[in-house]
Amino acid sequence: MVHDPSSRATARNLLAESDVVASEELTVALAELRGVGQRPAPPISPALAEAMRQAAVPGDRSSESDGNVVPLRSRKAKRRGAAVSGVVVLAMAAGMGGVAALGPGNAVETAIESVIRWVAPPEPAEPASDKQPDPAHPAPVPAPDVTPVPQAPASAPEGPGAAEPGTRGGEGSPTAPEPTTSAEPENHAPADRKGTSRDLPEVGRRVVPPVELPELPVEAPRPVPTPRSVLPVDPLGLTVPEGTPKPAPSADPSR
Amino acid sequence: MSSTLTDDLLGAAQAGDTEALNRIYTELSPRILGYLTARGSEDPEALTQDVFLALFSRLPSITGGEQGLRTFAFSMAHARHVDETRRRTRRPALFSYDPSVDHRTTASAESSALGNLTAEGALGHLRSLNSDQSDVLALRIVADLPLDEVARVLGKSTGAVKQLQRRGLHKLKQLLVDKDSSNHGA
Repeated sequence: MVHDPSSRATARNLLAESDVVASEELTVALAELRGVGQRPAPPISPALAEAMRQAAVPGDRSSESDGNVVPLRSRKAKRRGAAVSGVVVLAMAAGMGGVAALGPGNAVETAIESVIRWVAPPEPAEPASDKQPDPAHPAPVPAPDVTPVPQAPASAPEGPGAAEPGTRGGEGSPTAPEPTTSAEPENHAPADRKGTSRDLPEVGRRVVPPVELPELPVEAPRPVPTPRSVLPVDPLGLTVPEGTPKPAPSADPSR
Repeated sequence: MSSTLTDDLLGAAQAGDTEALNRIYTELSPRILGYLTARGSEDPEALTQDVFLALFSRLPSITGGEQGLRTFAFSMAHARHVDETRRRTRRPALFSYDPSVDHRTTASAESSALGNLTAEGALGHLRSLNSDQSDVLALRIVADLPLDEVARVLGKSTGAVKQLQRRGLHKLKQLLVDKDSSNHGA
């Protein structure tokens, strides 16, 4: 088979470019391969001919592409969306401008202050019970809720259990209540601990007279009847006569 | 490399000149068909038509003149061949054997003794190389593309293409020497 001289020259150039020693067989093989790409063009298929016709007429090509491809959003819809977005932005701008013009004072400063107030954390509340009072400056004690209490009758019984208000109960008085006020106890608890309740005026204190309990008669305990004494007879003769020594209890109860 | 493709021809084709389109097809289709044949495509003519269908539909977007047009066309041919190879790998075609339609023949003893290096024999040697070497040699020899265009078509560097070309030619030469020695031994 006779090859084109240019094909053989091209093959030799390729071998020289790759530093491959040329041989006759290799040159012929490369020339054969080169001839594969120099065959006549294949006939144009009908589909390709139609494509070439469409490519030759740009108007037809654009109309075909527009007819085959359906966009998700048409251009009209895009324009409508842009117009609606513009109207919304203008309306918001007008609204904000109107509020800024009608608002009292500097609207910008007010807005910033409100934002800071909203963002800033609140000041922590100081626990009243955990903080030690300053002896030099005692904490102010709230005034108790005073309820007027009628004066104790002058003919209150005075006995050995009676005690003066504000002191421990006397002997024989098992319950000598402390004088209390009508104020709520939780309000006075920290104040009593601090020892400032004694500085309070005596006006709001309610004096409760000691209660004298009547003496109750005490009876001697009665013997409880046992079942043994209750049973009239011992039908099985299991009664142990008195004076019989009892067996020593075993250490092991199972024996 | 004798090519009648010019930038003016591409511009005329982009403007819708039918004659320019025909000349592009006449110029490029034999080499694309040869490349697909050398790579072992099952239906190289149909693939060639597909390549030109895609090429003409995207003709207005092609830039780079006649070199860009050639690179685009062979890139598409290479991509179509890769797609066909993958499809064939996933779904191998099964055929029932019918002796009446089997027209295959074997080479005669005379042809074997003479060591006839026909185009099919050369293509057989080319297909026995690995895929990258075969791609490079087909594009360099059959499609007659320069090194840089082959590198762009395959997405490799020019140095890598040079190495693949050198190894492929060495391997091809070794195959021919082995075949010659086996023929002489027989």
